[in-house]
Amino acid sequence: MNDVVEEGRVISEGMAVEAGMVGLLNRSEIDQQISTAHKFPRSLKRFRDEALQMVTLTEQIAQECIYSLPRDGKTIEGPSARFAEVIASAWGNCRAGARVVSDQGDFVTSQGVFHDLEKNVAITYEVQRRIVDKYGKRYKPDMIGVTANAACSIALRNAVLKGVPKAFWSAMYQAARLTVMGDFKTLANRRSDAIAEFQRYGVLPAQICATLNVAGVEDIGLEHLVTLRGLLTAIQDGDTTPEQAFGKDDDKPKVEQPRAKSEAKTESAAPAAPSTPVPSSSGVEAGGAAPDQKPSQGALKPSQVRILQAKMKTAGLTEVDLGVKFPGKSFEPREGCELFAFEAFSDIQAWIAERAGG
Amino acid sequence: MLTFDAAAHEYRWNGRLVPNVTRVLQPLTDLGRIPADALEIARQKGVAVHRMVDLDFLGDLDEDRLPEWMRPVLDTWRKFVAESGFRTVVSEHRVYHSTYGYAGTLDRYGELVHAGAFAFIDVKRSFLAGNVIGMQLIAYQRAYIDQEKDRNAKKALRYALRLNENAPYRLEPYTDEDQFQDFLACLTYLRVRGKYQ
Repeated sequence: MNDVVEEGRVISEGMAVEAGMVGLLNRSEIDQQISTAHKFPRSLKRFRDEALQMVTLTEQIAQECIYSLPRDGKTIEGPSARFAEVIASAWGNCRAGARVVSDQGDFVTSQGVFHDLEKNVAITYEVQRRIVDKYGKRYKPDMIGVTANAACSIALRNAVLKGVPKAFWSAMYQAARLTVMGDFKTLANRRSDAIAEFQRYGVLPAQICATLNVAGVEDIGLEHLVTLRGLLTAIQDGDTTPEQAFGKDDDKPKVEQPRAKSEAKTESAAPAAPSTPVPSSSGVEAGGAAPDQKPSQGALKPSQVRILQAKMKTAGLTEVDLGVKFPGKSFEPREGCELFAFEAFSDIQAWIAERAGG
Repeated sequence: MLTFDAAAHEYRWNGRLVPNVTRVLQPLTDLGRIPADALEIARQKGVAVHRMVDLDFLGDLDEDRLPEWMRPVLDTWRKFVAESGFRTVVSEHRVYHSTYGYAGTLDRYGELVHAGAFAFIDVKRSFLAGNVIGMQLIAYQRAYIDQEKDRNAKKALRYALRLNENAPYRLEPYTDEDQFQDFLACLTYLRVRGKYQ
């Protein structure tokens, strides 16, 4: 397969990679398939008719053609691996497959291949899946196998759906959606069927409503039905789990955390911020500060002063050195001197570190 | 310069990813047998106690809105401060050891005024991790000395301070200097593992 096609001519370059009998057989097999493809070219009309017929054959098949996955609080939806199988089958004159190309390190990499024998177009698509848990521990071999299969399935789907131009299959996908959606006459039945199927996975109606962001079961509409069916497909295909699809962060145990006084001040000040700037006690206009300018938090806190004094002591520095570096500033109230501002903490720390290092 | 990516919990020294103390000691702390929910609660409580101690030290703790379960912890912490005369020099301080190339955030370093000594203190809710705490403390101490050139830190003591809502505080000393060699062995193991993975 190292031949290079140039302006319709095939220039043979030998068989450096697929040498030997297996390579030869493989090559002759593909050559034969290409010849057959040219002999019996595809009809786009027949492709459209067959694909449309297949994806809308039953509600069950249409449902399997769609997947939905929750991501970052939204639900993404798209054509599934089953849909790609239908498209590849109806498109004809093509070869498609997937294989694992690497399972080293933290990821397994699968490669999907789609070769349109008639048009001589080959698309490869790689998909990576993590094979370490959140503690960085590698999965067990069986689980790596399961993950690799899931990655292969996705890689194959992506390769097929890239190899067959979207313009040819998007209408079939919409037809599958409409089949799943049904109409308002059948909505109530389909809704209760979908909820019943989720109950098999231990998912409660309240969880479904929360995921779809609707108030109650009655608010689940036709579009929501497509999302629900897509989620079912994704769970059945192993692309997601019921916990991932319907588990919320709120399900995690939550321990109430302590709060800072400064946070409370910010919280109470924020909603009450007047539309007209009002001068604050520090002289900075409330709401009038530049976006990246931090509001002043007053003088250094006693604990910060203690830290700085301890560090200065360790570094062999005195308040005289401090006065030389920061003229007119002081840790304590002193005539002719201003107190250090809260923001000066890091500057003083940096100065001490510099002197200590020197 | 040392930078820290809180979301990924990654430390970088001049842009290069470096191992951190917790990650280095991870193989020694197998918590796999503890149920995930219990572990998550323990983790969140640990974070809450650290934050409370830090805010109290900065004088910024909102005591009126302190969760009920934390009130006895706060009392215990203050009792410790009163009895030991502990004065914090640095808290939640990021350190990097330039020779061994690891980083971390030390809990607190300060002066035990009544004992007349400086000490590195790690606040813990339990001593479940055992000797690993000692390795953690000595790793932070050596990195702090390397980074800050602090003479007092060289002679400083190392303690884990147990603070939880069910028991009085307990100060556990760690004196074994050889633990740094153990830590370095773990560091080497992490690097070798990464190299051959």
